[in-house]
Amino acid sequence: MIRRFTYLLVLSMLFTSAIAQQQGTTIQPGTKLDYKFFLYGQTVAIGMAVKSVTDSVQLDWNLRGMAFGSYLVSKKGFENGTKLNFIQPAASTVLRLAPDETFAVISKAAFRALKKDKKFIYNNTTYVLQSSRNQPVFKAGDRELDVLHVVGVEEHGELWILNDPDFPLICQVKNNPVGINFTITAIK
Amino acid sequence: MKYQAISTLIIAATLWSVPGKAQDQHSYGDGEKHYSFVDPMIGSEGLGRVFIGPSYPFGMVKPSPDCGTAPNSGWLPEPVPVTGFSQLHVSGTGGGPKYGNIQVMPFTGALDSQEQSSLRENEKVKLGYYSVVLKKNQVKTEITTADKASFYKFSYPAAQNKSLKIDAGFFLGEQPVPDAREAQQFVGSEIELVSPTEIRGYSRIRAGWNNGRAYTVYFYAVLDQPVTSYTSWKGGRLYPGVAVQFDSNEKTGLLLALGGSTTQLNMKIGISFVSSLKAKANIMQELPDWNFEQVLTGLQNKWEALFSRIAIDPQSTNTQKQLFYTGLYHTMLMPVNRTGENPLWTNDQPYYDDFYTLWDTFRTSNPLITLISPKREAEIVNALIDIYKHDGYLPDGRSGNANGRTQGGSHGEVVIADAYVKKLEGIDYELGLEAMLKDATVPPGGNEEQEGRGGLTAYNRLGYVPFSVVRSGNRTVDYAYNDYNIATVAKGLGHKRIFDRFIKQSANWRNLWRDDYTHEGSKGFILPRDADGKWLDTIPYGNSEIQHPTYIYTPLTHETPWYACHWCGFFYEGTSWEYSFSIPHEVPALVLKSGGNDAFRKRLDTFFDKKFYNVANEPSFLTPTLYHWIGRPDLSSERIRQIIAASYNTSRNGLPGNDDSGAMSSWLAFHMIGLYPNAGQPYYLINSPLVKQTVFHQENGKDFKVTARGLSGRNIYIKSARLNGKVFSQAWINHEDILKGGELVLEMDARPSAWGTRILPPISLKP
Repeated sequence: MIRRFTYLLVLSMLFTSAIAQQQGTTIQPGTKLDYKFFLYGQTVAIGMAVKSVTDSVQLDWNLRGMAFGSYLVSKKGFENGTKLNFIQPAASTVLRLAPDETFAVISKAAFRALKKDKKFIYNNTTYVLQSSRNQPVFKAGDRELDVLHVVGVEEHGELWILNDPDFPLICQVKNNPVGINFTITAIK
Repeated sequence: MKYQAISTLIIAATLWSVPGKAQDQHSYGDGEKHYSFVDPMIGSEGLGRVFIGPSYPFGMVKPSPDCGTAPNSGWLPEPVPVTGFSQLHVSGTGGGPKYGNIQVMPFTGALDSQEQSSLRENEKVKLGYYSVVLKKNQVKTEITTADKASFYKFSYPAAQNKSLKIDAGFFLGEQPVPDAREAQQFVGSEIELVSPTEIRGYSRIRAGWNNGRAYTVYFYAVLDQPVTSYTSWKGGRLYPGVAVQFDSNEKTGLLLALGGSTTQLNMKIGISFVSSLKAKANIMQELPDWNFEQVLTGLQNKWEALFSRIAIDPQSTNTQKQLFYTGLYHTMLMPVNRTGENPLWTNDQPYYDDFYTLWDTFRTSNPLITLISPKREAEIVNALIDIYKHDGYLPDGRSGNANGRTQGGSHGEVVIADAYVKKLEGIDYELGLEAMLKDATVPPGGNEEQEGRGGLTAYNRLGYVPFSVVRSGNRTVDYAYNDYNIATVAKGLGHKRIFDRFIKQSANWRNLWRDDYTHEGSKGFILPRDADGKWLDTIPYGNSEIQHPTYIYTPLTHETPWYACHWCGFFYEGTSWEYSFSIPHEVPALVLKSGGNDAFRKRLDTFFDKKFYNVANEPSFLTPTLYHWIGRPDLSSERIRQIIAASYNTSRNGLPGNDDSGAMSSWLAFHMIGLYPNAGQPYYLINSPLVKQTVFHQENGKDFKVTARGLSGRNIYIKSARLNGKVFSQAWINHEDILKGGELVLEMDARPSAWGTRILPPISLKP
């Protein structure tokens, strides 16, 4: 009985904590995102700054303060995109993604499908929501994030997506079949 | 706007390229030595990564501080603490570290901890000498060295409180992930307090940047004060009063308390790759006494004998002298002479190690050593050939007595061909040719990173390395160049069939030259091609079987590490813009392929003006001088001055890229004296020098002088030239003419002239 009570108490605390984090993590223009990319045995720190979130999404990247550029996700892509594009950043260039593509986020439509059906299809891969039970707390630095962990069915890439219907940021990619993985280390 | 930018750079370059400000004026005073201008700290920070401790020329032992296990040279700027001082290092390397063996560290207090790192103060570095005060306990550490034995002088605050750590388990490049790529891996160590003043043992480490087999560094240390108490360790456990720790694949070491009534402790550490008794013999032979100053003077004299071979104008500025003589110094730190220290085979041949790598050094370092000391370069070439004889292949990279790695071609071919065309004596060129042919005809199999030519079977079948083989772009252009080197030696030795085959193959770079491809206004590039002959514009990446992502390949694509691993791109550390100029043996054909002189000039201008040129790496070393081949040596000289002004200086960040065993430094040294080699060819391109005069005091006893008359901030162009009094109209000079002795006089002017525009650099072999 005591064990059960403790369990409920812990669950309650975790839930409360998640809500608090969800409320505290709002991606908006000016938000800075620090990522670590894991590329064929090399680790590369890349900083991103969110330039715009309404209409289209513009993410300005910088590499050690020495090279800069942007990714531009179209309004259409942000709303209804079905593919992640992992194109390499190009210095001093705005990379405009195709209308069905996103970068570092999934589309809002995909996120809605995830919430509703517990799965969504992206890059011809079905990503299925994993139970949050027994999942370790996801942290970006010291900050706990409320994320949804999905795993691909056909290929086994894993995504950790911020539980935010307005900006479903991809916080971590593992086992990416295209070889490009990353994790977020700070949201400022 | 572009013109203005170039002009500004040219002015900036020329302002410091000739004697100017009074405070920077300098003459060699009576007894003033060239070595006094060496600053080992130039290039120590940033990308340069040079070794900062004392070393003999090509010296085996390189003692220096280690600031943790990560830095390639061991050293990092303050305030990073010093972990200790180890005896072996390399200079200017990229990738994962190598060596860092047999570390010592003075301290005070109880013998109860392996951790004795300390912050520093008052760090002083000059050629052959390093000193620092360890903040934690105020122990002053001074280091000098002989060739195979280092010499330490520790000054403690109190005579009765002297302690010393000797760590046989330390090494650089240790990583938490077992077998991490390019990390060194611990194999074993042991240590013994032999007597109150003697310690011996060894460190056995494997892998590192070249992924080599295990190497063993034996040591024998001698103290001038007796050990009064001791604690040894194995792994993490301390053993008070135990004098011996045998090798059980764990790290071992000793903590020592020293007696004696003085505050000073002297220590000599002999190093050997053969045995600890050989290490002891190295001390007895090289450091028979306890005279620190005498050892330092001996080291300085060794260097001075080499520096004095090339004397630049005494009126040159201090900045120029520092840059030049530090450049020579960096060039002669590696490879290291380990003759008598070869644990793998015995014979009477010289043995050199730490070719790190020929890919980096064949262009300028080896040719500069040839000018300074042809006998030394002949030794190096003989060592390479001897390695082939016993290990089966010439190395491209080699360290810790193991070949590895290859980055592009098999550049032992260039080094041997360069020795051959410059008529270095005492080399068995027939055996050298045999070694070169092994590279070109026998696939290395298995690990193609170790030696030989990866993708050789496909190269010999198709005439190019197809894209399915990693680094197929630079492998193809390098192999074609290396084939030219083989043809050069084969022709000289009278092997016509070999010559016929390889002179034909030397044109293989054209099989990856895509004539109809235009980029940034220039036509024709080395581009990816598959085994079926199809050009690849889009290239798949990753392992997905349902997504099939691709990227578009352009002449500016750097696909690594985003789409492929660092070693898995089309070119190694470069783009098509860079490598499409890297055809040093067929520049006239390259000019034609590029659309003729005007198009080639435009291509070169685009390359530099749009910053496609990478000053920080070797593939583009020759490119600033390619204007020579369109009859515009003045433009070569302009570019060189711009590059030097923008990227080289006497600061700790004064080298633009990894020095790579002196590659960057020797590039600079050549351009300061107005000569530049095209390795494997018997000539030097002539550019306007940065100093007014250079005298080569050659090993053959003949002096050769290059004099730039009227050189000034304005007069940076060569108007005319005379060689030994005779009109000399070409912008290149044969090595043989330098060997004969004499003087090349360059008349300088403020405007470009017709000099050097008509007799273009020669093609020594014609397909």
